[in-house]
Amino acid sequence: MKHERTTEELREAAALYALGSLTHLTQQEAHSFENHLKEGCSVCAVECRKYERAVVRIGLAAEEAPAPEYIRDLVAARIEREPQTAPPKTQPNPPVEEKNAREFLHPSPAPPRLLSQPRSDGPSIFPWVLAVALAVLGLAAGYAWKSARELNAQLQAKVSATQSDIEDLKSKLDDTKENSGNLQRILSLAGKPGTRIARLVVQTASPASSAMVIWDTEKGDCLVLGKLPPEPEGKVYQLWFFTPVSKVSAGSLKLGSNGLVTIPVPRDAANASAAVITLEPDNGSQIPTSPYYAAGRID
Amino acid sequence: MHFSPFLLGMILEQEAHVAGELLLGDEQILALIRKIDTGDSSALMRLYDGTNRLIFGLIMRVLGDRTYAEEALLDVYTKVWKHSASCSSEMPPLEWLLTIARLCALSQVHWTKRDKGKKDVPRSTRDSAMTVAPEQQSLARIALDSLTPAQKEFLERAYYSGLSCSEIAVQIGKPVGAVKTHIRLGLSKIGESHELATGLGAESRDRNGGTK
Repeated sequence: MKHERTTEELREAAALYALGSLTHLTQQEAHSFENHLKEGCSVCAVECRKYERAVVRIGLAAEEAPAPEYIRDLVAARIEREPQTAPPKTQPNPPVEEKNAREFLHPSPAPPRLLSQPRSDGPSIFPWVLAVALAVLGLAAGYAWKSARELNAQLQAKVSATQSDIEDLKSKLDDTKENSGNLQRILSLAGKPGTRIARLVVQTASPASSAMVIWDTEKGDCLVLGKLPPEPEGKVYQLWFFTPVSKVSAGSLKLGSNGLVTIPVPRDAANASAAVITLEPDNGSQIPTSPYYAAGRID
Repeated sequence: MHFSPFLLGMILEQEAHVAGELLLGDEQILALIRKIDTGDSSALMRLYDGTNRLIFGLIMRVLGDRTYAEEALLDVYTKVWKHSASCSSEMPPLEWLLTIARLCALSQVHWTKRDKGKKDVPRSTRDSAMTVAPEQQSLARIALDSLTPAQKEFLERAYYSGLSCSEIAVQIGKPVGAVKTHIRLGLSKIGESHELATGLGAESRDRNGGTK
């Protein structure tokens, strides 16, 4: 039923409905008035609109209060993850008062949210945080792996260098031991009774060359030590023992890397008084065929 | 209530003064809401900056508790962000905003089951400044002060506490009918004051050459 003019009773219902106090009196009254408005009673709608605007004046008269500064940041943070709601297209928007009044007067059973509780209907930032954290961890792991690999390569190079140094030192030690052994042998041989020694003087202009023969008459061999230049192509050094009556060959002479070689002394050279080195054809000679390369008297 | 021409002149002068300070009025608020409707979050923050004191004052008056009021304030601007499209031409945007604020605050009262009868705000938290549409705020305060003590008390109990007529009647020990009558008369008087002031305000602006 639509009204043609307003009455005191209608004004009172409209005023209480606008204030939201009608529904608290009786649900039936509120639903009845709401249905009446939906039926399109323009008289009651105008009254209702008038009282709604008056109700808002009460709130407008409220004294202001400063809100804490951090609420602004919370608002900014919240709207970042809150999607906006599109208005329904099939029917015009109901007045927000009616919507909110219905929401307030017939609230859903959901509990109120606390400031710290995230909304369930908004997009969560957790996957993004997780993705960023994983990316950072990945980068850190990659960096750590690369650093460890470089460190490992450096350590391996150091180990390799150290091993090389050890081998070098070992080789030097072996040389030193050999030299020491040779020296011991020379000293031992030189001090032995019956040993004869010949210091060979190089006859050609070769100042770097030298040679010595230490003859162990007891054993019947001699130790030749010295430093001779490499033989020319097709030639060999040959050692001779000169006796007063003959020139006895002791065979080809080839010094070792340590500058030493032991050669047997022929029996018929027992009374030799000199030792000579010559350069002979590579198959050797029965008699010296070239000028003496080095020669010396046997003491 | 009828305002004297002197009083209205002072109000309009004050309005012109504060307009120079770029305080928000209905037009600016509507423009911001339209921008918010397009997803402009900076517009929402400007709306917050311009209106949060008024909205927080209202919410504090309803809830009387700073913690709950802060939560409700957050809800108000979240609702504005999500439902800005529902701000229609049927209701001025400032009224739309205040309605959302009141209902958010009363919703907190409902869910937290707070005592509706004890929500008087301590004086120290209140502010007499008017930072949003100061003309409308001044007129609203004048209109409310023009009510009889009973009208003002019943209206404020219903508005700020969400009490029904029967609950108010029980609290004050008077018949429900008397409460209803006081509320209706009080709202009628506020509406008349508003219509009269806005009508005279428009006339005054016309006389001054429509400066606003």
